[in-house]
Amino acid sequence: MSYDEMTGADGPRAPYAQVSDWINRVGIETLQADQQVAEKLFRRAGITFQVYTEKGDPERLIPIDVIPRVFQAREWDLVDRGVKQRARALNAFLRDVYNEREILAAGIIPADLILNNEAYEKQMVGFVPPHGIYSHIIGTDIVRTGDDEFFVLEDNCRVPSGVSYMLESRDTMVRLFPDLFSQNRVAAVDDYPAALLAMMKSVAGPKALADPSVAVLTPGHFNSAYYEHSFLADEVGASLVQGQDLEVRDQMVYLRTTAGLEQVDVIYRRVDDAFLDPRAFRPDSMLGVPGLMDAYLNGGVTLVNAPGAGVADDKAVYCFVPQMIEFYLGEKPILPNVETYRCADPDQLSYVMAHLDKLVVKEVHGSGGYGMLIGPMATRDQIEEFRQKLRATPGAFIAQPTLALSTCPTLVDEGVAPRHVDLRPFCLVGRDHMHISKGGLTRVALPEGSLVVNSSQGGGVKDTWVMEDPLTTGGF
Amino acid sequence: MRMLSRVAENLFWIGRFVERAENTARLLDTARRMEAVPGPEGNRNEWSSILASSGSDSTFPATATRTFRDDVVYHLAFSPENPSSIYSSLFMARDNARSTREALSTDCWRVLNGAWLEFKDLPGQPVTGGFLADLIDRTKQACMATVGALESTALRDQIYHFIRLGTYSERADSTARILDVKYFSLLPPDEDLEGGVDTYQWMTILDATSTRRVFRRLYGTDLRAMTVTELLIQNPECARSLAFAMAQQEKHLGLLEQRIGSTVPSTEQAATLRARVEAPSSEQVIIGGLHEFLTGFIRDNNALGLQIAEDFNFTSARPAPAPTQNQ
Repeated sequence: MSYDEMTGADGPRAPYAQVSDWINRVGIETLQADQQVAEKLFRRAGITFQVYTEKGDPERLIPIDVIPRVFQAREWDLVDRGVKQRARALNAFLRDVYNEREILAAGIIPADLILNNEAYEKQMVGFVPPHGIYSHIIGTDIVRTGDDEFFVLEDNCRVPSGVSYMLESRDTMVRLFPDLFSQNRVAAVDDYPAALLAMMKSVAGPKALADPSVAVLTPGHFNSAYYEHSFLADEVGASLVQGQDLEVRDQMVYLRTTAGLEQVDVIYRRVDDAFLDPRAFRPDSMLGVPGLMDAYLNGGVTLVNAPGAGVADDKAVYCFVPQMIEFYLGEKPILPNVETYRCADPDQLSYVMAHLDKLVVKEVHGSGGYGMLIGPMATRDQIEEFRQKLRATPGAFIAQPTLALSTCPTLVDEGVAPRHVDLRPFCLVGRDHMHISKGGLTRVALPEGSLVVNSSQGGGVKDTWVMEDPLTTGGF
Repeated sequence: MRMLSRVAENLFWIGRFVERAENTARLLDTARRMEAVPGPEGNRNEWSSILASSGSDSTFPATATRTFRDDVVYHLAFSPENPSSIYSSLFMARDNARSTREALSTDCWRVLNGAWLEFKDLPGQPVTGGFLADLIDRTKQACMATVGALESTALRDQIYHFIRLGTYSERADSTARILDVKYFSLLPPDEDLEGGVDTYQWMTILDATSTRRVFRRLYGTDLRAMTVTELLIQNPECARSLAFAMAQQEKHLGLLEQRIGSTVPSTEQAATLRARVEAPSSEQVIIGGLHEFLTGFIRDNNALGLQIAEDFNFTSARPAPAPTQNQ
């Protein structure tokens, strides 16, 4: 039986009291009508979204569910501290594996797993980005199984997407239900754009302008997350650029403008490593900027996030994040990992083979809910298919027990019903401090019983509320 | 405010393509009206005239699929192969707008997006008289609504000036081409210069440029080559004249110079071209050869477009209609 975040054994839990009242008061029909208005608002704004690397229709709209997902201040504090702790450890790890490699020398992580990893960027070896920050924006996927039971499912250290959803779903909710917000002390999330801009300026390199110039680099309007790219550029007042808008001269990067070339100091890049620079990476790439890596490695520009940061969010590397936390920070992990079996290890593989019907098996490099086996829901044929795959390339897989993911009340055709949810808060890592807005992307698996929250597989989103502690916030 | 060159280029081409869609509709209108002129068999060439003057004959298929008239209508209205067709122009305008969404006002985007969505679902079939007239009207209305949304909502910044610069670059080209249709239709040139057919053909030029009433107000019934060319080439108050289109290009270039804080050579070039179209009396134009004058103008206006691209660091190569050919 899954943990329901709203309803406990004795009725609604404290943070949901108002929401529960509200659902009962307005009734299903009104909610369903409001739901349609919410979707219309999304449609009109042209909000399309896919979590990075998901396939599918690039102009698809993701459904929004009007019942919010609520955290108490105390619960959020745990998430906040846990995510920041991971962000510190992951950045320390990246700096280490591209320089001293102490954690490999200490035998804590197999050197082969890192140095021969696809995402390990050899051009980054020996280079330290400004202020030693590699992953400036981290999206940490978290699931819940009980009152204070949170687990980290994965870290996204490359170019995590979805933050526009946090902002747009809040905007939509405030428009639809102003009274809900006046009656509840919901923490604001609109501090994110300013925090993003401040973070970017704080990580500018030594050759930057006194007031560093920032840009968002997008593959262009055919990309599935283009809406988010243009939204973020707009919100932070950055130029939204494509590769052809940038020019490198003398290891400095410039925007091509109607008034000539203008220096750019920090680039929030929403293109893959492989497409950044045709000289350094794929020569066939039309998206990239020739000479960008050369400028980067010589301190002419800061890239957010650093090339090669992906080696920290590989699912096999994920297994070692708790060890990273102890090794680099000397701390105990605040948020635990989900127990994970690395199939590259023969002992762990034989355990996995014997328990395929109870485990979730995932590709190490997979994402978007593709290429995974959910044992308890799989047919015998599907299990056999994975058994073959595991035999052929065990190193390409990990396995985890099937978690009883928490559920949230969700509006469906039949009324309000529990549906499984996850959470992605967004952690910004700047020169002097880290910032997590009090909210995030809550994804909900809309089909009954489904555990897959990805938008490509029937996932929707919810507004994520963090209730302010009345003792600590006084108003104006 | 800084503007990326790519964005400026997109905006310039939104202006051009919207104007081009409207003008291709006007050309179709010219031929549609000329078709109704009673005249000798064997001297009917309105459809080949608009094909040539729109610069679309190079993309026109060699093998006929329908009657010549219907093939021309299809080629100018619906063909994706023809960069000047209404279909291509609206597609390109909308596609440029989509990749520059953040620069356009919501109203402007909605009207343009709506125009494309409506047009792309029209059957690519020829084309009864009523359907063609309706298609022409709807295209003109959609284009004018887009410009209207821009005029009534846009901030007068670089965004606005680049779109309008594109509008008038295209309009100068188009008015010259429409006038040139008359040249082709006059063949053989020594025949019936002031006769009834001629009068009717000048009238269709006025209709195709929406200047019939303007003409009546200024010249009454004095419908001749002299008066029509004076209105459509020289008159700086006529919104569809070459002089007006050049003055507007010069104006928007000057305003862009202010915004980027430096001068660009294209402004000077636009001023020179404006002076040239304002200066000569119609008589000289006609004696010197209307066709030669117009092709020279089209070439110089095209060169101005290239100078604009250079001045503002535009990058990509764009489809321009082929130059008018001598018959």
